[in-house]
Amino acid sequence: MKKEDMEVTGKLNINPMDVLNLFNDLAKQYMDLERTREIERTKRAEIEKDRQETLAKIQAQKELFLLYMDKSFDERANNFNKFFEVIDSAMQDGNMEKLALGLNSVMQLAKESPFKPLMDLNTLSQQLASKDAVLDI
Amino acid sequence: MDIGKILKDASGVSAYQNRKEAKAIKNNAECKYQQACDQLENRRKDLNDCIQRFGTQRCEALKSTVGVFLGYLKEIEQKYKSKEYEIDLGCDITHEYVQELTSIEMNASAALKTATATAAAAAVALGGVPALVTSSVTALATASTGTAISALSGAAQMNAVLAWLGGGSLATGGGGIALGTAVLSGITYSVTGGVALVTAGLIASKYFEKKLTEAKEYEAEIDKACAQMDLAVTLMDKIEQRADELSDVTKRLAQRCEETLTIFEPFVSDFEPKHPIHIKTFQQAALFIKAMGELAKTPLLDNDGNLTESSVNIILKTNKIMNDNL
Repeated sequence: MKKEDMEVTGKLNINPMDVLNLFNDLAKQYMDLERTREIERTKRAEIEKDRQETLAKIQAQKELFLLYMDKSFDERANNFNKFFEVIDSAMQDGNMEKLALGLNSVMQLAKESPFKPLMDLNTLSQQLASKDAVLDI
Repeated sequence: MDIGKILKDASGVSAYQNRKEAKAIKNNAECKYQQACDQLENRRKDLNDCIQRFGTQRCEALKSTVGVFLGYLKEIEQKYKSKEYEIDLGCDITHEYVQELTSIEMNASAALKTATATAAAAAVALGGVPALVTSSVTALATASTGTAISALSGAAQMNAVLAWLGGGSLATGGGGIALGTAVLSGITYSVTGGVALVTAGLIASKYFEKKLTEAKEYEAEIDKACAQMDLAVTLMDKIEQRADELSDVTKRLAQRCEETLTIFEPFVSDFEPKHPIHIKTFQQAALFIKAMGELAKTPLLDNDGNLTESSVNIILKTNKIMNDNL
């Protein structure tokens, strides 16, 4: 210990051993803090990774759902238009068989829910993820 | 050794910064969550309104088509005292079928007349989607945080740490601020490297480091819940599109049916079962009426609700009130 330090510690009436123990204790606590910090950083990184993966999955589900539904509704609208053209033509011709056919087609399509063929989105997503899957949407 | 970093940790600055960040994360997450809930609820209300409008339209269409046709049938029946109307070319208007049509029309009229017309109209629209996204908000919102974030909002804790910081050191066992400062000064003077460590600051740093992680976890759960709610809104958009589809088909069919009934009306009072034009007009009307009846029974969604819970975590149940009555 330097002469000037000894003079100061003497003036302040501090036990050098106490100071040494203090610093040792503080050093240990600081190392503990660093360990904790590292652990928490790792946890936060894992949390963020999981968050991003889950959000990406939900977004993919949404996009798939929209893709399927938009195509489904477009096709249905076209078909309804065609069936009503048949109905109008049948009314003009007075053709009851044709009218019955047109009306029956409209009914069948109306009864068919556009959501029904939609598979479990998770299963579909897995299929898409599969390299062997060929999916025609 | 980064002295600045150590000083920040020891003085409690790092702890304070972490606490501040954690609190901001929590507040932002809660705002985001509330906005998502509000959006979901508003969408749900809009969809309910849409379904009620469709239900009302369905009932009114039945009234103006099936209702009118049944009136004509009754008039013709009275004239011929016959209960069976079997006409060729696949158009069977049996007594049982007339009864069914009567039930359909009565249900529709009742739905239009009831005091709770909106609820009845919705039920009619559906065969279908009832309370819709019932407790989905709650279900989706039950983010399993398991985190005592409330601990972050207490200012007392930080104040206590700061008070402790100035109240003394381990070396002296605590004391007034002046004494603590004196000891701090003394230690600073005698130790090389300028390290002035106070245990309280380190403890606070460690505590709020963990609190920051909890806040991040909370935020992540909120983000996931918000994404699920957004998916639910998308689903409701498509349900509305289905309602619009059925509404359009009902409108187009009803229009053509009404035209046919207008043509048929003059023949009612003088109806001749063997008159070719009377028969043909009757057949045409009957075909349209049959289609209107079938369309009225068509649920908005199928019997099972059609959407997997796992996909959007929403349970859709169909109350086929209209269908059950038939």
